[in-house]
Amino acid sequence: MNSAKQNILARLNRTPLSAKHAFARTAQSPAEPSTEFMTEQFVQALESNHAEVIITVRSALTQVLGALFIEKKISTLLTSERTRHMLPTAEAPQYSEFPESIEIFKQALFNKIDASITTSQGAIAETGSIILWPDSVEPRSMSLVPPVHLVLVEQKSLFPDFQSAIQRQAWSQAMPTNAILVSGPSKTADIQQTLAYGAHGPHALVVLLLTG
Amino acid sequence: MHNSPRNFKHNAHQALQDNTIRSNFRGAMDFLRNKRRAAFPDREDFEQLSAQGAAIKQRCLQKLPQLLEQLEQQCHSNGIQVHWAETAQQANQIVQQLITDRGGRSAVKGKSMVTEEIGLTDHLNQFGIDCIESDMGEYIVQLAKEIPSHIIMPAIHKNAEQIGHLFADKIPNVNYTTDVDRLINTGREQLRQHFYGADVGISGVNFAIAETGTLCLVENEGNGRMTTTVPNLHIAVTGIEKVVEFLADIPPLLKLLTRSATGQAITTYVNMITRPRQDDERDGPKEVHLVLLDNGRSQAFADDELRKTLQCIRCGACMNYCPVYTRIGGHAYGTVYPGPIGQIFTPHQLGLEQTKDLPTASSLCGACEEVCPVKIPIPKLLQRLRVESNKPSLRVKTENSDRTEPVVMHGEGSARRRLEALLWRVWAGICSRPALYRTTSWAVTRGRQLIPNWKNGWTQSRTLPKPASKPLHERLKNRIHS
Repeated sequence: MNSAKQNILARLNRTPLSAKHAFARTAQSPAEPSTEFMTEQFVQALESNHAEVIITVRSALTQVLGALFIEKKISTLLTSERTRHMLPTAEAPQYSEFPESIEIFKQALFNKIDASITTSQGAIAETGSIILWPDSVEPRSMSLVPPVHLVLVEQKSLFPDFQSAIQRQAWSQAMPTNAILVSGPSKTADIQQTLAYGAHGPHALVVLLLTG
Repeated sequence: MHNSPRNFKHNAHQALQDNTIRSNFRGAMDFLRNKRRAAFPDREDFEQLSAQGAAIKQRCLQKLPQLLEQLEQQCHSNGIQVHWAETAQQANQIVQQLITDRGGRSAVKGKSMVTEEIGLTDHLNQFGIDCIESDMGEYIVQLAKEIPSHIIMPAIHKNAEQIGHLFADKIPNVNYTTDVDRLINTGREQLRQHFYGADVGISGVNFAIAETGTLCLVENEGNGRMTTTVPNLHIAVTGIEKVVEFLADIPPLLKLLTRSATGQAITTYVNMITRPRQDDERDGPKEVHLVLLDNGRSQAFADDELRKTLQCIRCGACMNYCPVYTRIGGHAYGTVYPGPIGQIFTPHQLGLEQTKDLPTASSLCGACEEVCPVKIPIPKLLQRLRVESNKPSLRVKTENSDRTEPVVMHGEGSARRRLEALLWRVWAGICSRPALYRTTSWAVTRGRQLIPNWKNGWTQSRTLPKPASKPLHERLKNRIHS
């Protein structure tokens, strides 16, 4: 197949390209908005995309989660060492953690888990997007397969827009295996332009925005 | 009737008489136009952003060969294997071989136009590999044994009743309903089984980032994430024009893509894949492959003007705003990519012999160019393709073989008709000789009663203009003399 590569590149290189299009790199984003503004923008964008946002101080998180589990009728929750210590212990759902590989867990993951809870890498105010960098502790299918996804977002990790998140977190220097922006529950409008939630991924996304 | 652009005129005629198609497309196009309009409330903002988008794509095309090599190198060091395919056939073989070598029998496919372009599903089926479409729209279309009629909303030609009947007919134990939530849930349950069991996930790519060797996929449903997360093998196929230079090029392009396509500020998921599953990771494909496809793109690349075709980011806004597409729908074109972008892109894949009706299927109203987020001058390119398909076919020999190759593109000159060309030459001859022009216009005006009242072709729905009783030159001359 190397000949295919050579042929394609030879065809492309045959065309003399003028150097007059010396475009600058994409410009820097404008002035930094306030945290209050970003929070409002973030919440509004997420809610208009059918996500639920709960703003809470860290110390009240366990209590908030307890109420949430009851409200959402969550009886099995996929968690990890990163979130386990924040979870309620009394009247709690059954907690499970991702074993060493999806191969031995697929059956349970697809059929037995009601919800998952993960942390996040940050968030984007402009579009109401959560940045996920799944890793060995919180694998990528955790935020995808269970019907409900709960995600923790630190208010101080809000970025005004995608460009500033990329720049300030220096993504291009160390891209993770998989980076994901999530901006709501899974949805589709493929049948007669009628919006329906829970197409293939979670049908509910609950964002716990941690202040202070 | 669908599978060849040669039948365009016939197909278009039939579609115009089909009231269901007319109303399904009218409704869908109005919906998408309103969504887009709301996403770009400020005309100036759009102009600024689309100028930026066009500049990024032009810069990346200027460096295309280097960027492709950089992409390959970066992918390799990330553990993604890169394959190159000159033709659809080669790409199909590469994908099929990868699956067969690993003993794979079942594939699940995320929404991807390029795999439609190469006819991958049919090819895999021939080799005993099941290939299920996992995007809801694509799934519906596959179940109905049809092809997508829109690049963003594949099942736009069907309404909920039609889909309700389709599901009840084709899926066991499913009752007829027009409740969209229930229909989607049926699709979800069916497709989850496929995500669960598939040996391989096949996807397209929205942007391939050379700087980091990252594949960027944009979607709302989560089927793209399922496809690229659950099976052990992920094969991504993309056209060579999808490569961008920097990660920082993504935010503006993404903004333009989702707003232009569905009026969303961002899609539910933006999925950026840089590596296969690492040793310490617990899920994700163990192997990731990227197939880079040419299939006529390097032909468009070779011409300064036609290269602009490759700026496309596949948002579909040009079809949503096209008065022709809105009336005849996507199937009438007989091509994988319908509408204005299909009209300028497909001739490079199939040649102008097959597609000579496409460049003329436009009123050149300019709506497509106005809404294009990367400023592709579609009307101008349509006119250029008209020129190419009508020019005298002058062929040159290549350097080291006896084969003759077209100057600009395959099939150039194929719409040229000798009689028409002769008539234009005669017309030019008359117009450039004053004495002859005077004589001819005298004869035509005096004999105007003799011109018959044709009722076919161009005059079928138009009145043939009658020449004036005296030519303008003669009247002016008389006025001066009197």
